[in-house]
Amino acid sequence: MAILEVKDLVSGYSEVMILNGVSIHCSDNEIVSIIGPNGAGKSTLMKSIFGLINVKQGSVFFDGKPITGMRANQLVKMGMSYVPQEKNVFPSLTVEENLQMGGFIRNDDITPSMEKVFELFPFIADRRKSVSGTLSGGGRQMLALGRALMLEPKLLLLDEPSAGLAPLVRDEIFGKVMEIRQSGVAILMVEQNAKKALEMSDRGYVLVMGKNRFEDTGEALLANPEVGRLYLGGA
Amino acid sequence: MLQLIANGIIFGSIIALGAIGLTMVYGILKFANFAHGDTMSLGAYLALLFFNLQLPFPIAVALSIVVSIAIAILIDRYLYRFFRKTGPIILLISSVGVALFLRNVILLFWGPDLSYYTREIRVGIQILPGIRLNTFEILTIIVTGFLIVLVHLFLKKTKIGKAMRASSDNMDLAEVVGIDTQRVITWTWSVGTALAVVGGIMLGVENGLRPPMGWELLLPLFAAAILGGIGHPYGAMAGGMIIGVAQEVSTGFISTAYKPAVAFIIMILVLLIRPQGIFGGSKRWI
Amino acid sequence: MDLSGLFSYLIFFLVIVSVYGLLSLGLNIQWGYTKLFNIGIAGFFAVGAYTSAILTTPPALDRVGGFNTPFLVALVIAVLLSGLIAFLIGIPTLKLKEDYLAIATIGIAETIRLFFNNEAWLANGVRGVSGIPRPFQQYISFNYNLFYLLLMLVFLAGVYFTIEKVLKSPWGRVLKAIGEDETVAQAMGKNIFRFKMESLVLGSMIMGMAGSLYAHFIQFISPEVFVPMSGTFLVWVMLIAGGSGSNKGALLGALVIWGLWSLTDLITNIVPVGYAVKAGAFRVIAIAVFLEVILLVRPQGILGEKSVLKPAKKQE
Repeated sequence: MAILEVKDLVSGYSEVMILNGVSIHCSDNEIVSIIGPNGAGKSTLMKSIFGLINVKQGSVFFDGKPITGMRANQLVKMGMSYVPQEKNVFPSLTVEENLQMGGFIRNDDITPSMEKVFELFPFIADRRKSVSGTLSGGGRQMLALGRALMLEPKLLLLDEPSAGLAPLVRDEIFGKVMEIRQSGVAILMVEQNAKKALEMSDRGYVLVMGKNRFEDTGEALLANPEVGRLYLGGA
Repeated sequence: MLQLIANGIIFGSIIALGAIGLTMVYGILKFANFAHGDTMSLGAYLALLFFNLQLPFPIAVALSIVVSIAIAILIDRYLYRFFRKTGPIILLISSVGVALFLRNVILLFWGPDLSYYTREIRVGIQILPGIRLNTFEILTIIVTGFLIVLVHLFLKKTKIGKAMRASSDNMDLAEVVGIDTQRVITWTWSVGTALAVVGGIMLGVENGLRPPMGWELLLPLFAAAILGGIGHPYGAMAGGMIIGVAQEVSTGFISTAYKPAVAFIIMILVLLIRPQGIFGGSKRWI
Repeated sequence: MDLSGLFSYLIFFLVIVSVYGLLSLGLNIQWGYTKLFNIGIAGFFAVGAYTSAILTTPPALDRVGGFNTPFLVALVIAVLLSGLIAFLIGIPTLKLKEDYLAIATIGIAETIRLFFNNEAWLANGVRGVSGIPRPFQQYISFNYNLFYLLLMLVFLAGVYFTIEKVLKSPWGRVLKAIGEDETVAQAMGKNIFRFKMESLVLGSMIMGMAGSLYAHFIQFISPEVFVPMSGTFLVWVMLIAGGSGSNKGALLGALVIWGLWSLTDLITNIVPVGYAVKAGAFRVIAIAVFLEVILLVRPQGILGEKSVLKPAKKQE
């Protein structure tokens, strides 16, 4: 069953539409990547799903329920978490406090969730009392992922999780994303690093000029000569 | 000289209490609230109103805090909220309007003359060689210290306090992670206003009440907030003390009338040398 | 009031409107175009007025004076001095976020007022400077106030057409670009700081000119005149009501708001003496409420352009 379904989405900023009818879906326990050239509307799609940009037309369903136009604070309660591309931690708060903020809407004991996050990311576990602004880029990305997991979400939206990271750190983050997925969280990911993203994804979409042009399994998209030539940097 | 420093600490306590709220509102709502000084006057006069109804002073203070917070939240809901998307400068202009409104409402009801909570003469006690303070002044310092510890615990230990710091860091992200930002805003006004009211009442006890009392304090308040790095509550506390002591000590050398100018000059020097403030590590407010 | 009384009141009224018109035009350069938030208008106004007053009055016993400077020379010095102070205040603040300029300008305005209040040797302190000469009085055989109104209109027209021209020049377009989107202007390779400084200085010079012309008309000034309410806040209401970004709006705002302000003054004069303070407070409350209503309902003002102040977006 589809945890997320986006139908003919049209959205953008004031008069300028960036998405012109995008339809995608993501099933339970699936990892789906959206790739495409710069300016194709990848981040806009994420923000539209998460209610940060007003949707003009089309609809979004989460877990079978219509969520079009719902605000972020309602969506997190339903079990959707979003990790923005940059500025995704609170720099003056400690690592632990950042995770607590991730669980802000929960009224139950969040310690077990926090311990789970620390198990997944030993790097930040060692720095739980540090102010997060002092963490490295990779550390901040791990913290941002951890913070999103504090809600025990059903679906995780990741906007360019590898942006600005060194190759080694990037691979580590991708490894963690796979681990998260294995724990039963569906993941919808936007990635600049298309090859790597498709290799690890169950399915992928290629977004061009505000529309989804290709849809297939990760492997098939990697093998598709046209996709390879146009969007994966040569054959 | 020692006496001047002691006076400075008392005055600095009052400034610090005002500056904390100013800096919090700046950090979270991103605008320079020019009505904050007049909020202090409002609190002082409301306390006078309740005190004159024969209520015990602590009850009058508590009632004044509650009513002032309610007014601050109403102004935010029905006025500032509509300007949040149009940017900080419209908010600033609007707050200047609110400042004039509050000051003149006070003038309308209480008139321009000096008012007092009590005309009792307070006798100073020798507490250290060269320093005499009266019981009220000692109380001012104790209460301020207590409130500062309380604010510290609130910001560091409570969930909403942490959410306030998070929102001050990044309001958009706070919304993304599901923090109830409207509640954060309400709390910001509540804490800021409560501290301002206490500061205003202290000023009223020390110097008597006049309608422009808070407006005249605005410059020292901003100087303290900027000195401490605007958006940083701890900086505001320290900044308040420094400005208070500097203003009082200056009276040993120049006319007391220039006290606000002293605050202004310190502020300009900070802006020239270290615009992020002495305690502000990052440059994010610039 | 008989007809001639009404006529002379009207002339007086229009002279004051012209003074505010100058202040409003000066603010329009700073705020309307460049989005510089100056709330120290009263300070620049005071510098202009005091400079003229000190330079042109005959010798006095208890303060400096007796320079007997001609009117126009004093006016030029007043304008230059206002510009100089604006320059000094711009150095630490124009590179920072906009709010800092606001705080700094109100600081300088209050400091200037305190200075004139306390330094009696310079300008007689709280008692103020009186006997400021009326320019060209010896040549005027008809109604002097009418002559002064014409003089004001000459200055006002001069300033108006000059800045209209200047603001339509490439320089003015850069100012407008800075006001609308600083980052874009910066990307165009413009030296933002320099343009902002020029805008601040030019606007403040016009405010200084207004101060000088005001002093010569009223012939008496004291620090009381330069309190933030009448000196600064009214000018802001004028510009916002008239429409920031439009010079015509700035002038219209001065006329309308000074009209309303004077009208409420007439009402205040009717109430018994004991209520004068309360009536005065009520006036300010009314104008403050008026400002908030404009900001809420018509943020671009009567003649303002939509793009200058973006209307509030719908609130979720």
